[in-house]
Amino acid sequence: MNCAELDNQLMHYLDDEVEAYQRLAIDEHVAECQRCAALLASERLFLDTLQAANSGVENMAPPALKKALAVRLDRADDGTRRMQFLKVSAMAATLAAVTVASHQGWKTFKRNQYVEDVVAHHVRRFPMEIERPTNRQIEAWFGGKLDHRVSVPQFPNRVAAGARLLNVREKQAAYIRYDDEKGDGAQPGHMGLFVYGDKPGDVDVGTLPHPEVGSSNGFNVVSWRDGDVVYQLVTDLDEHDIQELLPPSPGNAAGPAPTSAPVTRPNRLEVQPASMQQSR
Amino acid sequence: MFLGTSTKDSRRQFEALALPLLDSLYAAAMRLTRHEGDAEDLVQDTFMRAYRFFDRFEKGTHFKAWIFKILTNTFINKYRRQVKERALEDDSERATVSAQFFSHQATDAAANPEAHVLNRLTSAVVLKEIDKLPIDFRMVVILADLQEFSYRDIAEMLEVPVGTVMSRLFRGRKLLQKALTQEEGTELSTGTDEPLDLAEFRARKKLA
Repeated sequence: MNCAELDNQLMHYLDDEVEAYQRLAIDEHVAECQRCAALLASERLFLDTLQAANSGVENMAPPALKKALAVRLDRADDGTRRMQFLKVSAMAATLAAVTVASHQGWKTFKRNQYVEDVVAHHVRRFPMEIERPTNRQIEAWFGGKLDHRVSVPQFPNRVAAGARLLNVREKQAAYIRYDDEKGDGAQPGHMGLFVYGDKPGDVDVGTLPHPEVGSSNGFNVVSWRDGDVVYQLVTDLDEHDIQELLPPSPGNAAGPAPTSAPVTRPNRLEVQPASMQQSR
Repeated sequence: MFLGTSTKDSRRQFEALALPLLDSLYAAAMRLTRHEGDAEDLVQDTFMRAYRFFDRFEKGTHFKAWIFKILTNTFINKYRRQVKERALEDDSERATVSAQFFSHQATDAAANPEAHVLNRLTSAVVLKEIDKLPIDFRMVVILADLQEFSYRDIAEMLEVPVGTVMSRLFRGRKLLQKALTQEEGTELSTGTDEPLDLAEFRARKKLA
């Protein structure tokens, strides 16, 4: 190493940016060269001066800055916690919504299973166990066969053609077939009513005057609940005709009676014991 | 309780790494902004940005380089516009590191230790001269000479080639040496090389 080479490498040497062999070469040269030894000492002093200047107390962070930082970090933590809370809340809300939605979906699914089952039984036209009974006879016949009392509803222009026991899924049900008052039972307009106990609430339907109307295989199924007893009426009537069977909605209550309805037609389903129903 | 536990851990880890560097960050911020209020704001902004992005810091790597990169970036993006620094002349960048590092003036002074009174300069004078350096030189002098970062660290922080770092450092030191050598006469005549305590320093600075 000569002096010119040292001049070129001195900056890197002082900055500790040289390889070990370069450092050794410079050390050896400086040990023998007064000019370069003085230069090295001078430049080291210069860098030490800068370092010393920087380490003065005036360059220390003021206590107020430390306090301000602590406050801002606390605020940032609060913000993060709030965000985490909001995220968790949003997740919980979503989960709740999904739960509610899936609960609703499950209830609809269950109800549809019963709707499909009553239609499947109705179309089979099983033989009746009692034929052409009066409503009182039907109620008497079912007495003791089921866990619940069977009240036979009265429908306009329909008569009970027969009744028998059937199973709707796992529930034992009373089945009452209605025919058109003037028909022979083969004409459109016949209906089948299923009445069964549902204490667990498997069939999610409203009470009158707000029945559920579903459909399966081309039949409409009007379902309602009276306490623990579910009624499901299977019919090929269209929705308009079904409306005439059902009690008027509160919005229609004050309006004129449907002009198509015969004057003598009762405007309510009479789901009460036959002995208490109005005579026709 | 799940909520807040990770935040607490993160805060503790961050403070363990960052708080010991507070004085260094403040000192660098003072040299960059040359204003106590701005320096405090810069440090606060740096701290908060570092805390916000702490999850991106790779544990076990050089935290000081990481947070100083945030400091310099924050300064460049926000404060530098306010400070209105003089831009570097293009030919300043072209100065090669292979050129002689030290001026003949400095070499002559080194040859005559009696006349060489660098060590008698007060910190205030040295810092004042650093503060006068153009910002691009000043940044590398601050990072290399005051904070002792390697060329490579500085190059990554400033996102410039290592050669540019060396060139700026060489030029910055040369300017600083020249200024301090000229300053020596003034310094000797004032005889104010007694150390000041912090309160007195700040009081004087406010008066100035």
